[in-house]
Amino acid sequence: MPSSFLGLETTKRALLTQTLAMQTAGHNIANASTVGYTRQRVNLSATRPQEAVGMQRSTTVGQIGTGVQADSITRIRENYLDTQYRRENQGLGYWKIRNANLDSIQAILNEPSDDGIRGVVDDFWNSWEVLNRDPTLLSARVDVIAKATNMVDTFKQVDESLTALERDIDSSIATKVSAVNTMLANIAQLNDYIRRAESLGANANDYRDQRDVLLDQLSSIVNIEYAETPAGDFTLSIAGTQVVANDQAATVTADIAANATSGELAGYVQAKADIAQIRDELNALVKTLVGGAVTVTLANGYTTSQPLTANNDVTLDDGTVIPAGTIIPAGSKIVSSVELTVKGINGLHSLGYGTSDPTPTGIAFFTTSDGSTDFNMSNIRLNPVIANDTSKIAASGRYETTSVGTNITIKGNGDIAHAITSLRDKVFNYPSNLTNLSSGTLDDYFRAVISELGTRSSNSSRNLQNQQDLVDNVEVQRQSVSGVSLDEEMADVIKFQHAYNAAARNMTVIDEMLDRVINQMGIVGR
Amino acid sequence: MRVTGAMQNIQLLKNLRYNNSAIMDLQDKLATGQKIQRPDDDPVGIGYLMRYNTELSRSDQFLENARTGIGWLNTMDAAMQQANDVLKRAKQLTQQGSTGTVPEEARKQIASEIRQLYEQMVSIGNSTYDGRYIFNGQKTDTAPYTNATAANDKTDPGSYYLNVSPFVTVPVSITGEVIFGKAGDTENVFNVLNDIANHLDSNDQSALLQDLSRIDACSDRISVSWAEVGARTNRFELVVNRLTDEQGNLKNLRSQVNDVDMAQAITDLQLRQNVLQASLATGAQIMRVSLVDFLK
Repeated sequence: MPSSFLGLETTKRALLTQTLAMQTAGHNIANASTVGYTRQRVNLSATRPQEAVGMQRSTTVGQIGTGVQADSITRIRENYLDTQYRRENQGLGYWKIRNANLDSIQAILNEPSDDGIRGVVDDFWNSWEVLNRDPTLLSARVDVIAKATNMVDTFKQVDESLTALERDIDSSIATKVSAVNTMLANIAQLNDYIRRAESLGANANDYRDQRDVLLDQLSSIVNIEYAETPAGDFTLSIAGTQVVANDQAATVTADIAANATSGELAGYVQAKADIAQIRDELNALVKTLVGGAVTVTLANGYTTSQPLTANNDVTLDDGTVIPAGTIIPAGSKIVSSVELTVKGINGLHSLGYGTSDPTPTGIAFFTTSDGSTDFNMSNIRLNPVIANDTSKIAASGRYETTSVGTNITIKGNGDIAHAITSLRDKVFNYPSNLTNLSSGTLDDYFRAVISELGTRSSNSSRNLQNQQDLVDNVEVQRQSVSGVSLDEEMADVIKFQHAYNAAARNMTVIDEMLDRVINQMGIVGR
Repeated sequence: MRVTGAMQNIQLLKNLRYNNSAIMDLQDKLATGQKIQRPDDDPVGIGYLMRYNTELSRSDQFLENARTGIGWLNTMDAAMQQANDVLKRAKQLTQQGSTGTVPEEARKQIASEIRQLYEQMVSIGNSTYDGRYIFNGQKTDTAPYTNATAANDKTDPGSYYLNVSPFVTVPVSITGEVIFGKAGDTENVFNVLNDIANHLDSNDQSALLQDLSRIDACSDRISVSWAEVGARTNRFELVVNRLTDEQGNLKNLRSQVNDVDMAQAITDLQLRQNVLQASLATGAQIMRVSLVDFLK
């Protein structure tokens, strides 16, 4: 036989447990919009039933139920979705950074517009066309200098902007790494809290939520791997290096970025590679423009100022024929068409003669600001000799020697200017590892660079979009499992409230029953 | 599927993000009228677009070249017309002078007129276009002929070339010696005029008769060059026509690659705006309904 007061105990248990359940529902409602919060459930079970005591099997019916108890409060969460979310989030971080960077590169190159590299290069070539129209025209010479300076400045400005972009990336990496270090320290701290709480048998639900949020955030920055043993040992590796073991966190440096295979840090590393590639491509353009080997034809002949060899048989003004490949002595007046192989615009310009007397020769059109022979966007500049003196632009290909032995340029000759305008349509060779164009005109090459950049960028924005969709999808699934639904919580609250009310009523019934037994029984005839 | 508030939130935000970015894209296109704002809008199209832009800016130069060529050749044409007139007059006068009935006094007068014609011929030889001597090859900064030594003055043999398309170069100038005769040659026009004046002075009728045929030779030579000038002018005029047509074509092609189809874009924008409005409205509706509203 159970005790007369068992019913009171049973209903008391019900009251306490339903209160706990309602408390948890309240906690869920309170955190409905907390980032990373996982809804919690009180797991209820019936308490141990009572057997009637007896030497043999009791004849009473049984077992007798003794009420309800709360076993645990647990999070409703799917670890598989977390793994998926973090994997996709790494990819999202990577493409976000890479895409933003490619956007910046596109903005720096500013194509299609008339102010970008295409525009200034067009202007540069056109200025030579004007000079060829009238080689003696001073304003045409001034224009060549202005347009060349413009072009060189644009190259320099593009280079500087790319460098600034690289600097920004370096400082972003440093910022991200310091955020990573803070997160690692927090994760180690939370590991400690969780272990302490759970070693006593509780579930550290809210601490686990916080740790999960940190892991989510970390996964957007760098690729992570983590493991937790059933005993509660937690390890975390980022970019292939273990950085957290239980309550111990290591401090990482910016060097970690080099090992990142995904996440924002890997995105930054790739972004730098993207910048380096575009810079190499444009440097190759500059180098080819200035010194790429090319064959030009001077249809009008040429007067040599130094010994050189032609690619065809040439006739001098005195009728001598010099065969191809044989040295033509300095001072020869070639009257036939002559084909020469020169190194870019500099090589061609060096052949020409300026208009000042005596004839200046061998002036390179572009020089480097650092004295190196390797031209690139940052060091190319208009030869200062030319920039300061329009007469040093060597548009002419002929000079005469006067009776007193002074060389005088034939100023109306624009053969070299004419040959320079033709460079634009010449086919040059380019390093084949940079773009898919290994030979073509300078214009073709620049267009290939831009098209290739556009392809990379549109590819990366498509990837970004895809990755964002994937992350959103997983997040929706996660929310479907773990998110708080207010409607559901409200329904639960009502359920628990009803249970509570009923239990209270039950207690009253038992109370009345006992009252009957204690106060109103055995008083017959009193 | 269990649906929670956060899911609706994520979904709504995603839809809004998607619609808004599409609307921004369309606004950009409508505001600029251009399909290609950045290389990634159309990585292939931008290659074409840049080529058309480059070719248009080049063809402006070619057009300017052709116009300069035409201007230069028109000046040459006028100079040769004058040279021809001078020779005609010289022939008339020489014929007059070669007749026996003309008195010696009159021959002296004719001689002085011939000397005038000689000087006129020298000034024709020194014609300029835009300040540049057109008959001195590439030495456009120096006058080829002087009154004193015109018959023996050498002109520069170089010629002046202009580009009219990437691979086509047209010669413009014809040097003085080709038109007026080689320096010191008997049929050099200055030499001929000089000789006629001298023969008139010296009353040498038979020499004057021979001079007549020398004038014809000069005339023939000038006519040959004159025809060449005409041919070159034609060529440049054709080039101008071709370039003008080509510019039209290029602009057309560029607009095909780069111009926004306004009707299409506006319709798209309207459609997008409707969708955005719908997604905003549904979002607001769904999120407003809650069990809480129905509980007492």
